[in-house]
Amino acid sequence: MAGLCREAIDRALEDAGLSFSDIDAVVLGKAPDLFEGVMMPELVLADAIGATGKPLLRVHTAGSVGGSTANVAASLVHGGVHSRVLAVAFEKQSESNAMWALSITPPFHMPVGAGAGGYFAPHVRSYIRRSGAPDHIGALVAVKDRRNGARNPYAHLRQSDITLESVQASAMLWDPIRYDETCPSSDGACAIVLGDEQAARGRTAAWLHATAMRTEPTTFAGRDQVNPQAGRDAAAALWRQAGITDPLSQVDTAEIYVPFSWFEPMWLENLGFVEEGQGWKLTEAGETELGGRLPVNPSGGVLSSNPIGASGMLRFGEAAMQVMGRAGDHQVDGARIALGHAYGGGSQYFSMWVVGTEMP
Amino acid sequence: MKIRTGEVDTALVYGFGKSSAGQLRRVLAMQLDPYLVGPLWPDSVSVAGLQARLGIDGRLWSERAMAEVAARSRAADPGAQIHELVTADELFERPYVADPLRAHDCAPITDGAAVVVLASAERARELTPRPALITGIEHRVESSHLTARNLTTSPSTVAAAKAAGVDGVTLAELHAPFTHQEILLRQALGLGDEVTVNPSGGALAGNPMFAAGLARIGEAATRVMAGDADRALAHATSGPALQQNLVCVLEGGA
Repeated sequence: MAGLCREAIDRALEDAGLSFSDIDAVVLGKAPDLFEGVMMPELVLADAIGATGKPLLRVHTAGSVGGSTANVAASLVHGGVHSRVLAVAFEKQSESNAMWALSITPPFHMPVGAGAGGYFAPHVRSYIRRSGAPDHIGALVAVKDRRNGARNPYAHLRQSDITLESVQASAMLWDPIRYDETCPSSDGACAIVLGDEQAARGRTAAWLHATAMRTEPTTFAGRDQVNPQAGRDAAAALWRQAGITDPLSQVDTAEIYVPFSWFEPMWLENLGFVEEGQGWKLTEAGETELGGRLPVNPSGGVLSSNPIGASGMLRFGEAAMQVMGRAGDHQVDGARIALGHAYGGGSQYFSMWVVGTEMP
Repeated sequence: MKIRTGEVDTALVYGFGKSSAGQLRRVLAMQLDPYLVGPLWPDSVSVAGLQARLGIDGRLWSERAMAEVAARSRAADPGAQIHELVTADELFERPYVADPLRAHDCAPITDGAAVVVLASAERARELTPRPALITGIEHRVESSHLTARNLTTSPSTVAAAKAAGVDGVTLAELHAPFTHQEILLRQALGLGDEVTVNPSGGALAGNPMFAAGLARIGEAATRVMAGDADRALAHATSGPALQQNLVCVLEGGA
């Protein structure tokens, strides 16, 4: 685990032209400790992540944690507490059993779901019914994201040969979610160096235009888990802070947390890119492909790599890479404004940021 | 942080722990390196025992001094989980649980929660006549390798205290789940006899995980707001043998 984090951290520091001595504080994010069975991993990793002798925070918001971690690190800089903060997030699922860890029953709850897919499948069904979306939309997303992943040297799954037919022929796991529409179980880490204006002087940077986080409870009966209020509220606050009134036109590319294919159209609506019920049409028209009106997950997204604790930060980091022109083979031409998005828990934690090529 | 960025004026902070639902000593053993140390199952009480032994052998504290901390903590608050009127001499006669630690040297297993309402200084003054203003809050972490540290001192506490500015405090709520750790922290922070330590009884009187540190801040703030102290320090710790430490300085504001 230490080595995993260190690979990402060393690359981030090199990319930033900095060393550990330049870092004022470290913020670590990771999904539940239960996964790898290391309690409060920030403690055992303190030395490896360069935190010894410094302020160290650990952020914990389930699947969205990678995003929340970046937001917390950004707050530390924004609030003037530190000049340069290292944000790192990871998951080592090969030393874990995420399916089991996500199936345990909290006290006083009926055991109704098997794994994350079991929890979300009913929401996907509900979305399909509400929107009237045709059955193949999920498979379209899977094909797109896996083919994008093939352009990303860091992706876990890189499947340039994947087709609509092969996805639709794959085993049904939680109706209507099929095997090839499901995220992998990955080992991975992501590290980002955040700095103030001074730190950015004379170097290419991705500038934060807005950050937002909102939360809602897991089991409140009045929730809409298909189009969660917290997600809508976070997006509204985000666009307002960024001065964006028409996200579909003004955002060049979006890295959205899509662990099961159907979440692409669902989140496009929840984020306000399109009206409720219209998300699937954007996908069907190919507008979320590379070269489309709004490329979604050019990196291959969570469907190609899902080290759960890191996945949110990977979205945020990929968005930053896009506006810095550093996304290599999966670069969206001329991307100047990008969205990074993460969600977690029972579709209850939302964190997101907007980054841009220019200082706001 | 959110208050500091100006995004919000008030914030609710809470922590809770329900350790009775599990085996805390075993769970805390899993804070240590999972490959090289964890398999030995060094539980939290044993690790603290090693630290206590180092201090006893180094003549920094004694089992009797530890018993005195325990006696004082147990008497502090009739409403606390642990409340017992007993002398240090009586405690000293009780058996070990993990030599040199006796039961009274260790914080109890506690189910509990702590809540603090924070506000910007301006908003705080609207809400209460004598808010407790945070004039400094700092934290540092040390190496996870127990053998790389001098376990009888607390450099991270000292560094955090220095950065936070603790001069002139007359009251200190120290998050010490073991009696020897209260003595260790007192020594590390250079707190003289004029400083009242743990009037609440501290973690030894009740130690809800993920809340006990916040409770120290709350207890210190309560006394500052009541006028019992103008300047107080609250400390929180995490990890084996005081690996990570936070120091918060509170001042009575009018």
